[in-house]
Amino acid sequence: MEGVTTLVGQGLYMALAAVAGLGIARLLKRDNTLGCLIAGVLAGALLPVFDYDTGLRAENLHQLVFFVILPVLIFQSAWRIDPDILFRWLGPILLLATIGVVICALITSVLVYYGVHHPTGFPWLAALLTGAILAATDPVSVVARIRQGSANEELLTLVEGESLFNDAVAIVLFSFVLGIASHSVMEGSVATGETLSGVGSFALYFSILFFGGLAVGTLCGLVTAIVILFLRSAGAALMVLVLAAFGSFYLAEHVVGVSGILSVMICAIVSRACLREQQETYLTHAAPTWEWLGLLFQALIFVIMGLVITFEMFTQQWLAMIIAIVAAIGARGLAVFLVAPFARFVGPPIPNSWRLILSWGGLRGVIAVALVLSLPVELPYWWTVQSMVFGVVLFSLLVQGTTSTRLIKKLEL
Amino acid sequence: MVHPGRRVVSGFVFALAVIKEMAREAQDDQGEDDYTDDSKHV
Repeated sequence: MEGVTTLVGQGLYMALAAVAGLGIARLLKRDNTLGCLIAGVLAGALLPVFDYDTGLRAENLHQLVFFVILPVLIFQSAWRIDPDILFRWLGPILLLATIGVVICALITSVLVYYGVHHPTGFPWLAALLTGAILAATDPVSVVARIRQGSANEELLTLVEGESLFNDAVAIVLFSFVLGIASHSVMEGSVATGETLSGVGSFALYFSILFFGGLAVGTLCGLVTAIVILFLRSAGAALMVLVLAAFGSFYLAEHVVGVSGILSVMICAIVSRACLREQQETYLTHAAPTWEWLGLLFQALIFVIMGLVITFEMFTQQWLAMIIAIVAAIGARGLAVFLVAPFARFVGPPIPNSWRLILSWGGLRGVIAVALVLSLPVELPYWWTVQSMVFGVVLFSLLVQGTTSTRLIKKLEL
Repeated sequence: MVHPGRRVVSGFVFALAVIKEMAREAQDDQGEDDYTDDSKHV
């Protein structure tokens, strides 16, 4: 019984910090994420005063992030996107989110590896992990600004769609590199029957992970749509959708052994596309529900970031942080400007001003923080990677977030 | 022996057909149902 009450108390403490964070954001007139980060730091500072334990441990953070927080965040971003506009921009989005993300992750990895230049303390795998984490973008400020202003639906869909798909690809990439780093690929979730070795086997493993996730997600999306149509009730539809978000992840990741994140994303897109005509009926409450769930989990992630961030990170790892910031911004810009010209071969062309928004507005936010929080502490370089990612996220919040809204204004988008 | 790929595609098409039919039925019954009132479902 004591365990349960402690868990409830810990949950309430975090939720209270999240609400305080939203209040701070309102007072400072800044993004909610920054407010929650400040609230997390304050909540952390108050812990010794209250002699209180949040119950957060490096071992349970990975489970919490991957099984609870990421499914909700990915499902809600996927649910928000209009399927019709998404299909029109699917070519450019996929181009940016696959080739673009791989290029971005590789350039970031090379830059941080040679920037840090400490092969024993910071090997290639650490650099690749950093690259994969920093490839996930979170254009929250840009999206908010576009919504307030001209509300250019096409640009909005491109920015949101690209962010959603590149989050999913970056998470798959991260899980893949982490699997190699912690040798779990060898015991793997995929039943190949033999030990994986060589580039061919890794490519096969990656393909099974990727396409298996897409297949499970499609199946879950179809079943979700059928069940909602059968139940014919707005309240029941919400229950089914929440179950679909967690269930599609669990089924893919734990039962089938393929990518859970891709499964969640495709499940949301397929079910929303199948239920297009029910938006005004059974799904009237769906959008607000996903909005508050997304807000809650985003706030919680930033509160946790505030709790685990330390002053030593800035005194000991400041150089690594600067290297990561330069690498992340440079790599994103290069990747977007290298890949975007090819968009016209697979869909509508991306104008130059939009390319600028995509590269400078590609902030690193909630997904990057969630991924880095899930790093196992057994990896000797986890603290360096965490400091680097926190540095980039802070820079994103403080500098990129504010300047990108000015950039949109200047470009008159 | 049916190719597994063909089976997947026919399954997918069948599911879409089911969804389409159910959506049409739901649309037809719209006047009778109050979908936001869940009390009657409890």
